[in-house]
Amino acid sequence: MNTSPPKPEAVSVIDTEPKSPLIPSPSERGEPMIEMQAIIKTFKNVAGEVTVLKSIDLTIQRGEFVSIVGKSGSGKSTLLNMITGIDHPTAGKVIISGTDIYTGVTESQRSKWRGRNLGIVFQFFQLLPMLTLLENVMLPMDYADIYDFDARPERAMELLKLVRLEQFADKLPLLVSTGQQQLAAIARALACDPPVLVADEPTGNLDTKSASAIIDLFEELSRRGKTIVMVTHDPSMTSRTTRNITIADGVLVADSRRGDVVASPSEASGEAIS
Amino acid sequence: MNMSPRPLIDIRDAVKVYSTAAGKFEALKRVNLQVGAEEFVGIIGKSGAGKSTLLNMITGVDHLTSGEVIVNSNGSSVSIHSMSEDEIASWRGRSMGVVFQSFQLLPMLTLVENITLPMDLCGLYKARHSREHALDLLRLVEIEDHADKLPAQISGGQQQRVAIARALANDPPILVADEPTGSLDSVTADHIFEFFEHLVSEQGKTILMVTHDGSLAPRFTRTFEIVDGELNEVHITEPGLESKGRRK
Repeated sequence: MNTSPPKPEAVSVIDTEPKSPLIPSPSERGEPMIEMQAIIKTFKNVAGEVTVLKSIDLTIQRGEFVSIVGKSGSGKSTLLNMITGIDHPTAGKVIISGTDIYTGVTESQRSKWRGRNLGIVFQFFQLLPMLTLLENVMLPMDYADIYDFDARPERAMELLKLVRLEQFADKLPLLVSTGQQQLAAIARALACDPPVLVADEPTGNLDTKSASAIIDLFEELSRRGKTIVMVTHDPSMTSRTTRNITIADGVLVADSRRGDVVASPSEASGEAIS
Repeated sequence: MNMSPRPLIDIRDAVKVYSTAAGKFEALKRVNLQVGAEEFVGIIGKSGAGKSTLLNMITGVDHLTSGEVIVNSNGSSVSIHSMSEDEIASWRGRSMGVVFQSFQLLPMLTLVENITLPMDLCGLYKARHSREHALDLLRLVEIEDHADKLPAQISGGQQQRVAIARALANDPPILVADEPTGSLDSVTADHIFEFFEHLVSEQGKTILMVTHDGSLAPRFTRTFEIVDGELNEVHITEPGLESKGRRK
C-alpha cells in the first residue's frame, strides 16, 4: 500500500480553494473512487451470529455526493465503517482510489493511510475538549506528518475561515455551539486535503438551521471535487445529494442519481445486489 | 495525608453565572474547596447541580464569573483564570490529566496513537520515545495487547482504561474525572474505580472526581455534595465505612 504521498511544499495556495475544474470532468466522474466488492459483515453476540451486511457491491465515482439512508439497524453505519476501516468486513474487498485497504495491511498502516486519504465526520463531532478549535484542526496534519510543521497553523486557520469559524479559533469546543463544533469537525476532516469525506449522521445532533449549513458546506465541497459519502436517517437531506442509496436489512434496495427516475441498484448502475 | 503548607488545588469564592433566555442562572454559588496532595476527592451531585461546571473551572475549560482557582504544583503557583487560553492549555497539558464519561478517544486513531497525542502536543517526549512511553502506559492499564486496535474494536471499559492512560501521558500530579464510570456496567465501573484508588495510593496522584453515584461516597478520602451550585462536605460517620473506604 502506498502510504507516502509527497508532502505539499507550502500552503500559500490553500487546497480549500476551488480546483480547476470545479466539477470533475465526465472522464473523471467515470473513475471509481470507492469500490466495495461482496462485502459481508457478521457480528457475533450471545444470541448467535447476525449478518449486518449481506454481500454488498457498490461503486462510488470520484466527485459524487452520496447519501446512504436507512432505518436504525439497517446496516448503514456499519457500511460506512467498512469504508473508513473503523470496523472490518468479515469477507469482501474495499478498494479506495486504487488501494485495497484490508488485504495484507496492518491497523497502523491503515491508520496512516486513512489520515492522508479520508476525512471523517462524526455525529457527535469527536473534537478533543481540551484543545482549541485551531489545535483540533491541526491534529490530523501532525499525525499524517503532512505539510511543513510551521505551515500547519496557517492551514488550519484557512480551513476555519472556510467554515467561518476563524474568530473562534482559540476557543475550546465547549465554548461554541454544537453547529459550530460540527463545522470545526469538518474543517478537521479537511486538514490533510483528503479526496474523500465520510460523514456518519453529521446533522443528527443539530437543529434544522445548523444542519442546513452543514449540507451547504458539503455541497460546496462536492462542487470542488471532493467525493462525499454521508449516512443519514433524515430523508430530507437526500434531495441535496447527487446520489441516494437506500439500505434495508443489510441489502441495498434503491440507488438513484439526481435527475433519475428512482431505480433499483441493478437498474441504476448495473451492479449486482443481493 | 501529605498536606503541604499550600493546598494543591485552592478554589476561592468561585461563582459562575450563565445568562439564558430565561434570565441569569447561578451555577456555582461562592464555592470554596481546598484539596491536598494525594487526596482522592469525590464531588457528588445530581444532573444540573453544578458538578461538571465546577470541574470545568478547575481545568480552565470554562471561565469563572468571579473568584479564583489556584493550583500549586510542579513548584509553581498558578491562578488559572488569570492566564490566557494558550497559557492555560500549555499549563493543563503538563499539570492535569482529564478523564471524561464518554472517553473522548479519537475513533480514527489507534489506541497507542491516542495516547501519544498529549505527549506530542506538550513536546515532553521525543517522537521515538513517545510510542515506547505510550506502550508502558497501556501495560499499566493492562491493554497493551490491543495497542494497534481502534477504539471501536475494544469494550467500553477498555476504552476508559485507555483514556486514563492518555490522561497519565505527561505524568501530571492531578487527575480530574467527570463521571468516569457513568457509561460503564457496575463490574467494569468498580474496576475503573479501583484503578483510580491504585493511582492515589501507589503513584501519589491527586484525583478529583465528580459523580452522581452516592454509593461511592465512603471510598473517597473526602466527599463533597453539590446541590444547586452550593458545595458542602459530607462527613461519613456510619460505623464500618471509615475502615472500609477511607484510607487516610
